[in-house]
Amino acid sequence: MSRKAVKPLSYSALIIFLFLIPLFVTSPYHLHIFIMAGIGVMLACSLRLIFNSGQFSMAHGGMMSIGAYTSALLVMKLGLSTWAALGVGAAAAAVLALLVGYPLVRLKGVYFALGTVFLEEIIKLIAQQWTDLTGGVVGLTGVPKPDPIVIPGLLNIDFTSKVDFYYFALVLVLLALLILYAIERSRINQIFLSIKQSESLAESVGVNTAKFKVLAFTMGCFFAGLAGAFYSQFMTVVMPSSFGFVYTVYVIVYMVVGGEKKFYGPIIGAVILIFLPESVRFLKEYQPFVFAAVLMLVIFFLPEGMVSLPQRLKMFFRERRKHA
Amino acid sequence: MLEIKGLTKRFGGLVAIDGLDMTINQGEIVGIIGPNGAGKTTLFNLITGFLRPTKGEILFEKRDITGHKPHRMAAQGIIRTFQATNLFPDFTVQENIVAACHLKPKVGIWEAMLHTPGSRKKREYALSRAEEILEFTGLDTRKDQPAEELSSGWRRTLSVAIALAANPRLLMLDEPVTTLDPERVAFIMNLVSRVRESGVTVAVIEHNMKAIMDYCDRIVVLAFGKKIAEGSTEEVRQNKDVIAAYLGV
Repeated sequence: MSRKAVKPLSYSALIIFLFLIPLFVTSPYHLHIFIMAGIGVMLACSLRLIFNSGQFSMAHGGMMSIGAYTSALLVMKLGLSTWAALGVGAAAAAVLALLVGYPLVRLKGVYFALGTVFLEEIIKLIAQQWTDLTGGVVGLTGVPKPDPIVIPGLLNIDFTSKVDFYYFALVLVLLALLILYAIERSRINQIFLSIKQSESLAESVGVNTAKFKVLAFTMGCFFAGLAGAFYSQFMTVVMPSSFGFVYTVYVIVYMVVGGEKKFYGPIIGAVILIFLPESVRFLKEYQPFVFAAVLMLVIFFLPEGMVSLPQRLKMFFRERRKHA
Repeated sequence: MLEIKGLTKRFGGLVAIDGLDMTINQGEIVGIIGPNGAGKTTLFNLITGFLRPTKGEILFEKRDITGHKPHRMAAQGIIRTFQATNLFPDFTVQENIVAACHLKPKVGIWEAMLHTPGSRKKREYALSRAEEILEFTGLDTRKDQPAEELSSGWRRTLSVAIALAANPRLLMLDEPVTTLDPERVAFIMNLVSRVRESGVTVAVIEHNMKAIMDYCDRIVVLAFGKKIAEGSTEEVRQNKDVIAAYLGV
């Protein structure tokens, strides 16, 4: 079989495997981790989209909270359907990104990153202080779970078990990845990458760089908002501290450890860095050390992330053969 | 084709361009020379929109384009290269050129993301244009090489090729051959003449006097932000002010 034919086959096999997981992972606790990994994947991949345009956003947690609060409040105060709220939550993050994007993208490099840090802090402070609307530090509790999907006689998904949420998350993440992959393969991504490499050159050949940088930021934040909206319905609690600066840094670490050069880098990074610390739960308070150790090992030995491991190994063995 | 009237650019107390008047005519290769700090690159930055003038106006084909953003200048057909060779280093040679075909055919955001047949056709058209430019510039043998691995001569060639891909009507080259060996200088300057023959007007800043004298139809000499001389290569060569500016006497 040719290599070209193997790829789609192995992807379909992987997706079928993911759909079968609840058959052998039955504990709600483990399914919970799978679902959190899905959220991590969506955040890290959408962060990479922004990063592709040469911008380092540190507002991803903030954008996630915009999606979470917007969708939760729309359902709780206005009685909107949870499914519509999911989309509106994502759109709210995108609209905010579009509005603040134009002034923000005037800042270059590290200044842009700093600008997004302030944006994230502002969002958090508003969530903490606007007690009447957001519930302040305590946040919103009793956020409704997704409305049941009922097809009489066939299907009745009421989201009372983690398995239902697992499938919800899986479909959502796969859809998000499909869209992100379509963007990745388009000429839009080539424009993002050209801006990342040389903004002045891109500008000189006619690219409206401000517009495309805002576009990348907006699209990336859309998926952060979507992840947040899902999170609110899954956890049923939304607090300012759920999406703090530390969470943003975690998402950045997922992307960096996985490797931002490849599309699947952040996916690998998020999955490994979410499952690995969980698998060493017996270490208790030393658990974060595992996370830090992985990060440091990758930075020292695989500066381009885990996706560069096969290539590195190949080079390593070739060198050894030469010396032998 | 391009007309500049009373153009002035101040950086704080420093006057980089001081009430400059000049024109660039359709179809010519005009050389812009002058000692370091004369304001040549600043002039390019003003014409291509990378800087906003303090005063004065720039007319391109009788239309006022003063203060437009660089991408709008590019859309009019004013394309520049950069002094410090500016490439997309991670892209291959071919990808560099395809990326520069952004305006023609113009990339539509939605159609590109939805991968519509229209966007596929545009991509194919961009690829075929890139192929032509690769052949025209002699880069076709290196098209799959990453740009950062090219020798300095080929890098300069590629930066001209990138500018060509953006469909220039006025091509502005900022030191295209400075520090290159004579063979490579002749190669790139011949390329520039062929570009002119295809109907593109060229303005070139250069310190390599042989290249300027051999290939330019007309020369404009700047010193301290002012035009001190203008004319054919012969006229400029014998101009006393030019000799004084260069020798400092």
